[in-house]
Amino acid sequence: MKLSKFIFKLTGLLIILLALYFCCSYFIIDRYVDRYYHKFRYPAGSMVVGLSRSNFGISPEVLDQEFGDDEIAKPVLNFSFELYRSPYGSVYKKDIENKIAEGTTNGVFIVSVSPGSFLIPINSSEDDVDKLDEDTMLGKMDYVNVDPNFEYMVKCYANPLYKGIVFWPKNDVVVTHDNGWIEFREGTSTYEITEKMVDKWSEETLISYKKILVGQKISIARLKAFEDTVLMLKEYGKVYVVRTPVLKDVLDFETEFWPEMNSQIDSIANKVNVPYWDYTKDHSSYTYYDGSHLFSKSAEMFTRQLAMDIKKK
Amino acid sequence: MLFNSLDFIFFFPIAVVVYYLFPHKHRWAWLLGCSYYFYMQWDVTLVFLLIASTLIDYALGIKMHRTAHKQRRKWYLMLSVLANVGMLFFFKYLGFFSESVSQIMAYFGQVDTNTVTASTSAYGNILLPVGISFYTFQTLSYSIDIYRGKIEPEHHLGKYALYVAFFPQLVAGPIERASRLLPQFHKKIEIDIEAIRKGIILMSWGFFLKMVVADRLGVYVDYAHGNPAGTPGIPLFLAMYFFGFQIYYDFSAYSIIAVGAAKVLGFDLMNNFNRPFFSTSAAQFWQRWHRSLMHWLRDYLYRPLVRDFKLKAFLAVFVVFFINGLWHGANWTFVVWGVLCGLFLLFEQGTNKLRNRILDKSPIPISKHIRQFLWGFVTLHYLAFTMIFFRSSSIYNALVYIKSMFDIRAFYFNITNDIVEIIISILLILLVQAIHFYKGNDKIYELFSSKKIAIRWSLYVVCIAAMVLLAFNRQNSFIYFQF
Repeated sequence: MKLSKFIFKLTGLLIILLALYFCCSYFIIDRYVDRYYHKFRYPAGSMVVGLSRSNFGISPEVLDQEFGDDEIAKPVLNFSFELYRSPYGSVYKKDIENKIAEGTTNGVFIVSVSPGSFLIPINSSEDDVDKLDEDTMLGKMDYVNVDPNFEYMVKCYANPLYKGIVFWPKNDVVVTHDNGWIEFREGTSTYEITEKMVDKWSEETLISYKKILVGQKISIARLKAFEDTVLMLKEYGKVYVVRTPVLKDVLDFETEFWPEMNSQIDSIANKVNVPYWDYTKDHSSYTYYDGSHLFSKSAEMFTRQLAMDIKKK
Repeated sequence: MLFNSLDFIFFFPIAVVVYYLFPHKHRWAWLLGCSYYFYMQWDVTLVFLLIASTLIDYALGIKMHRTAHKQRRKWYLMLSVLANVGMLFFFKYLGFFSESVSQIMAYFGQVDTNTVTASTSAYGNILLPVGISFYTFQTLSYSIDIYRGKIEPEHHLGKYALYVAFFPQLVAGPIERASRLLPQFHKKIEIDIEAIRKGIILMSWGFFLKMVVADRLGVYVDYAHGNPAGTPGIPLFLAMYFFGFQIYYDFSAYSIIAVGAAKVLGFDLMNNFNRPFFSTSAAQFWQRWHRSLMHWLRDYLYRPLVRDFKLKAFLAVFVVFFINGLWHGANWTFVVWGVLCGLFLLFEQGTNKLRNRILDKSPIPISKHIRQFLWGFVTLHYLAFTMIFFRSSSIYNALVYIKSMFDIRAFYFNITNDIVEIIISILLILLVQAIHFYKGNDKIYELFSSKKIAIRWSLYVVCIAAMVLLAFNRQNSFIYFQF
């Protein structure tokens, strides 16, 4: 076989492979990718950042309704992820900055804090933080404002493609919004969430937190990165550091793990001159599906409360 | 750089094209540069360790060859062994040994638990250089072969460095012998389209094994090992077998990609696997599983122990399997795994006649083939069981797993809540085993050798579609990278 013929055939096979891959990916993008895909599509004027508590607990739609177009920069995006995916560090800071729409000056940035945002494995050194974060979804992504975002499919879509084509989620309890918010509904006509289920999930949450935190410690480098992130966000608008409400058992456990959390966060907030609001005192005003994350209606209620506090400020 | 990463998809074609564009005389330099670049993708500093190992053995090899003085030759060999084993010990085993010694002393009340923790954290942070177990064994074999007079030392430093660092097999083998690989670096290699075609098919097969089969099985295995007490009974049995297949496909995927990549560049590497799951005995299994390591252990450990140190064969087998376990990782789980495998081999050899005598007394005559099948069946199940130790992070976790395994309360296995995936996994195992049965581990390209273009291209398209639709996009490391 001649070399040119061989290269021609090889190229043909590569084209078939790439064409098939991108067609399947496009088909999936057109329907449903996963919980995080929407966060990587377009730039935002205002943002919610943090871990899963703000991911479930703060609705950009409510902020959109509460503030007029001339009051804050829009669109509002929930750019929170979950434990291990978006702890504070230079990787998350860089991606947050890349998400901010050009020319934004009056953005509102809700920076959510929980112990999970500041953890590193107990045997890691402070210098390892960036290396650890580079392996996360945020570390892998170079383009965070592309629609359709094929980079996301290539680097972050972990399921086999047939799943995205044949089975798309029929579960309407957990709803993913275009604005990045993940809503956990109190139940639907087809799926009832009982008190017993909530109790079980809450118990499991606490057990898993206990398991996780045994091997983790609070990182000074992450606290510094958090401060840097707030300082960076201040250049684009107003920043509010927020601790979302959680069930008392979870709060007690976290306080035992990191008793100085509030004082440390408060001192950083004071240093960079932004407010720090701790809503954990109001824990009994809200409902949680697992003790740590708010149910949909509570999330809306909490976001409304947050919007009122922002207006008062 | 992982084989199953985007980086490699860009790196490899560039490496190949430029390699063939280079004049033959200087190709080694390009390949060496590529190999160091490939290795530096993990950690830039670790390449200096690789270079140090190369320089030591290069110099000692030449010195050893030049001197006729027997005792001096021995000293040079000892120096090479010390350097390589010392490096391996420092980076891989120092933390493990210091922790184990501290724990034993704490057990006897000689030190307190704080000392154990201090010793663990003092050495626990030493970074394990990727592939160190593979390339130190490769360089050791080079020095020993020169000492034994089996090979002449390589005088071209660049080509020797390439022998140590050749990127297709650098981080997870096959552990090549100098007598086989070094002469290939001196040969003039012309573009051989058929070899390139075979190489690409082997690489694609490796990617299929890794991304479609091994990573898929890994989901179930990870789930079961993550919480064995929460998923007792049948799921743990299923996960035990799945892990046996996972590690086989994962490692043989790496090996076959390495063989394929080398073939594209015009080199032949040894085939690391030869249908191990069709073995009819433990002895046969170890001749077919991770062949480059087992051959190494046979030639450089077992035979010297028996021949030079006059150790009884059964003790030598025990030592070999102890070292085999320890080679895999600095953890007692690997030692237990190695010892269990060694004991079984000894049991097999020791009871061979007895087993046959018992079967001879059977009222129904049992043919030789059935006997082999039955013993093969027992062997593979036993080896799958030992793999629980291989997969577990501690002896305690392995024991919890085994205890939970026999806690059968109900018939269920769908712990991942994804029955489709479990069915696909089983079907893929059957498919791959059937292909291995008919074509072996390294002749997969024969499937694509049909004279009819329509059949050939249909097969290509079906394989591409299967790969695109079924592959897990995890870009996770090969299991053997940690060794």
